Amino acid sequence: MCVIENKMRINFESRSENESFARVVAAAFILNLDPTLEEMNDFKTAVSEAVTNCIIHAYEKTIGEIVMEIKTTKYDKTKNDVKGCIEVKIMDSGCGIVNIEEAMEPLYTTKPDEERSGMGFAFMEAFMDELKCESLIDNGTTIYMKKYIKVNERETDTSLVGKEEL
Amino acid sequence: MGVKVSSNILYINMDGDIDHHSAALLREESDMFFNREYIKEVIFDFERTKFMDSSGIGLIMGRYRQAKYSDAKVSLINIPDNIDRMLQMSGIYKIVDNIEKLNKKIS
Repeated sequence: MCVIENKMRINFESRSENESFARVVAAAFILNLDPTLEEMNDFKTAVSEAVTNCIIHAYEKTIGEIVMEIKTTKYDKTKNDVKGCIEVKIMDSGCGIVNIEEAMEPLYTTKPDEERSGMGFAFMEAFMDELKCESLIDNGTTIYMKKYIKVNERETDTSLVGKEEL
Repeated sequence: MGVKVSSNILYINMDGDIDHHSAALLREESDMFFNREYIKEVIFDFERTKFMDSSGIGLIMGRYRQAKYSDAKVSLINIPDNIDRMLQMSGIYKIVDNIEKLNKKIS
């Protein structure tokens, strides 16, 4: 099967202003897969959660570097209604997570006084198809996520194809 | 985006992108009103929300706690579908007093 792959990598400082920057860049990069609005929203939320974690947990009150890598794969033939996939890695060199299992539990947070809901990992898990987390104390954390992009109604409904062109 | 008070009702407009950065600003603004005035209801308006992540959930939970201290009601209005899903997952609907989804009014 022939595929078209595309990759990008950026690094930026762990400032809260950069949360929207990371989200918008990530969204722009996956546009060539032509996701639905819902798929796009899901992806943006997951990226936002991962980047926010780096800022408030990994580096806490210091400023460090966050690296975001995205790979898109576009299939020329669809299989089970899947026309492409996004893989995203978000990496920091911060404090690391002591207990990953506990951190991934819905509503678990180490910062309730800062009004963190503890839903970050739960949203990443719900909105993406795969989620992996690797972490080393004082070394940093890497979040790997994968999402499949499906053929949408717009593309399968042949009665709409002609009309759209008009 | 912004917070305002009218007839003892605190309106929190969740306009644009609600993330950790913008949620902190909304929290600061609404805290100011909470400390200064008598609030009988808090209304979160999602009409112009383009994006929200778990920081928005944290913001609502925090204001909910504050509201309950002074026996104020908490309402969420004009909730679009994508945000509805997140609110449901987080269990917020079980605690707030009033929910109104976009285009579908539930009284």
